[in-house]
Amino acid sequence: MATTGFTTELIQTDDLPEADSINYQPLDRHHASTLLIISLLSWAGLTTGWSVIITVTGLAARFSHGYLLYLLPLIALPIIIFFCRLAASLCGYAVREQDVHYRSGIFWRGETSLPFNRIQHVEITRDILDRFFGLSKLKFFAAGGGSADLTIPALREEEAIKLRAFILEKVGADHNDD
Amino acid sequence: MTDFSAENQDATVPGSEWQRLSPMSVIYFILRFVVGFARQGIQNLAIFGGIVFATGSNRLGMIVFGIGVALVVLLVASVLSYINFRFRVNRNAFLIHRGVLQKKRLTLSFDRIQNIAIKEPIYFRPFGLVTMALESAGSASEEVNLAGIDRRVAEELRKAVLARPAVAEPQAAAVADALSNEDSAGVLLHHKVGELVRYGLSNNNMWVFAGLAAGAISQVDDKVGKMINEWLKLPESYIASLDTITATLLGIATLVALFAFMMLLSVIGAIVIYHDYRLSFEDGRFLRLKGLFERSETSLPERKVQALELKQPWPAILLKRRHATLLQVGFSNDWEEGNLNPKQSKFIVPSLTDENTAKLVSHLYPDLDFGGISFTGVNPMYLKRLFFVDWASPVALLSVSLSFLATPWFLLLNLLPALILPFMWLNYRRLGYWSDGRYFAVRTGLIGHKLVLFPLHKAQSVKVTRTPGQRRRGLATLTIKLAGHKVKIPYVPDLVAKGARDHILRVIFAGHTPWM
Repeated sequence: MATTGFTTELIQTDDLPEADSINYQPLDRHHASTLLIISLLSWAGLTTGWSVIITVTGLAARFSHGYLLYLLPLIALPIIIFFCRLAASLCGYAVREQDVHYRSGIFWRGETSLPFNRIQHVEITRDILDRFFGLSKLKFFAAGGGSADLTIPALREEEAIKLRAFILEKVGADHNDD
Repeated sequence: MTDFSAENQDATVPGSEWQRLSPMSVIYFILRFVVGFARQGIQNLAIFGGIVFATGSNRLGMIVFGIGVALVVLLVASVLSYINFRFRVNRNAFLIHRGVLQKKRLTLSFDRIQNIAIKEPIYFRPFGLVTMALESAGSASEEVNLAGIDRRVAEELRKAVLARPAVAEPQAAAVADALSNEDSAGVLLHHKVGELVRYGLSNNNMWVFAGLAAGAISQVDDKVGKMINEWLKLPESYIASLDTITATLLGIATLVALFAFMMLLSVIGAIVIYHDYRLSFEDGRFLRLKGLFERSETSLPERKVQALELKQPWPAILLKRRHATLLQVGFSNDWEEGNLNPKQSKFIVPSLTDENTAKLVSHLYPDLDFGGISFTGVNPMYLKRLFFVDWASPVALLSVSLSFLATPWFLLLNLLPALILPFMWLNYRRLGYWSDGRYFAVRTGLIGHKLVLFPLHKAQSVKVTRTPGQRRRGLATLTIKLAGHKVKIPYVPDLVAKGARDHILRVIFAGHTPWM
């Protein structure tokens, strides 16, 4: 399969940076905290639901140490904390000469690449958690889609503004060339 | 009265005063209200039906009164819509004021206009009027129909608007010639009715009709349902008296009849929409003329085509035809998942022979060797995933829970994935990709196939995803996003996916070819 014209055509090219040479920068360290808070909120919701169910169905009363069932969700806590930290550490973004990249995912690892001269507009958003930690989400939009094509979810506020200015300048310069 | 030629643009622009549409446009507004009402569903009618039935003895009077009121309301609303609809044209924009209760003011600049379609509905034909549909690059709420303007005015306006960014101004006369004159070099297609019958038989719209019919039946009132049941009672008792073989044959015959009926609807639909289909290519744009009751003329600049989709459903293989769609920029979220927008801006070229397909491709992508496309298949892991992850596991889970809840017979459901394994295999065999470094093609399908073909510089962004299973085997899923479309190729070698990504980024950076 590796000998098809397609493969050779695309790979054996000159001095181009190899796929793995994209130098990903980590996100802000508070990213793990925001992920954790969001996960804990869902966990709290599910735990409440679980408690209501075992109370109403009388499941807890049926066993001699039935009250232990109420503690069952606690097992999930260390796992949640572990995965939130892992997820945050695996996220990264890279801004190169002509394109911007973002990678994420623990199991399903995705890498999205967006060239500057396909960027239609850039948006900075901050939700409540972001404001609490002083973070910003930087969103890039290309043509023909409703949602952002690439989102860098946790940057320090001044960094997001700096990056936006840098990329908009690049985008503008490119448009002037045409 | 209106002249928009280039010399005149600096002088006072005629047509710059506020204008109304022709009074005949009231017909258009009436039809639009009726269609809008019908779209709300048969539920609306059910409400009225309920009112009528509730009134008891004086039914006829109520019906007549109800219809009378509806007609008066419809007429008044349409006339008010007509009176409140005004437009004017300044040097680089359409200004439109419309709306009765809620006034809307819209400025639609020429640059934002993607396409202008001139439609000639049957009720405008005696008056020499047309509908001019302005398709903008913005949201659907910015689409404007100027219904009921003079044909010559519409053509001049279209010429003025579409000619603006282009270097060479296309000659309107030449365009008209190209469409009416068979011998002109630019003519790509001229479909006779026979060809449209082929299209009707071989496209998948039949199933759309079947779906609509099922939807309509499910909406029908209980009363009507009872009536149908009573009507069906006779054959039921008749069937009960038959032996098994005859009953089976009768059942099959009914199915065949239904199938034939759907086919017939599909053929009629194809003829109504595509009657006297003419397609030509002039000055970098495709021009299309079609329609039985409503002749519509559409022009589509070649550079606005994002990708070419060639479909060959299984009936089309028998008829040796392909159906092409020129994909334009889509602006709806639905496009994200590859769903079709109901208000789609799709440019369909039906019923192409191999020769016509090659001709169309060569106009769209002159430097592409269409015959030389040969697809590379994906890794067999794709088939395993289809079988185990997408089918066997969910079915096993479902059947086990159902067998606990109801009867163990549900465990037989587990045979289902094995039964459809041949189809999964077909799907796996069809899936393939190809590129020559400038163009990219993806093929999908079961028995028939769909091919999406696009130049790499039309790409907007690229995504490479790897699942744990793919990582172990050095595989990846490559997703290329175009404006309004997305192609996804799972289970390709990791190196190919990343190589493709780097190549696309380089093409976009170095090429400077605008994607639109």
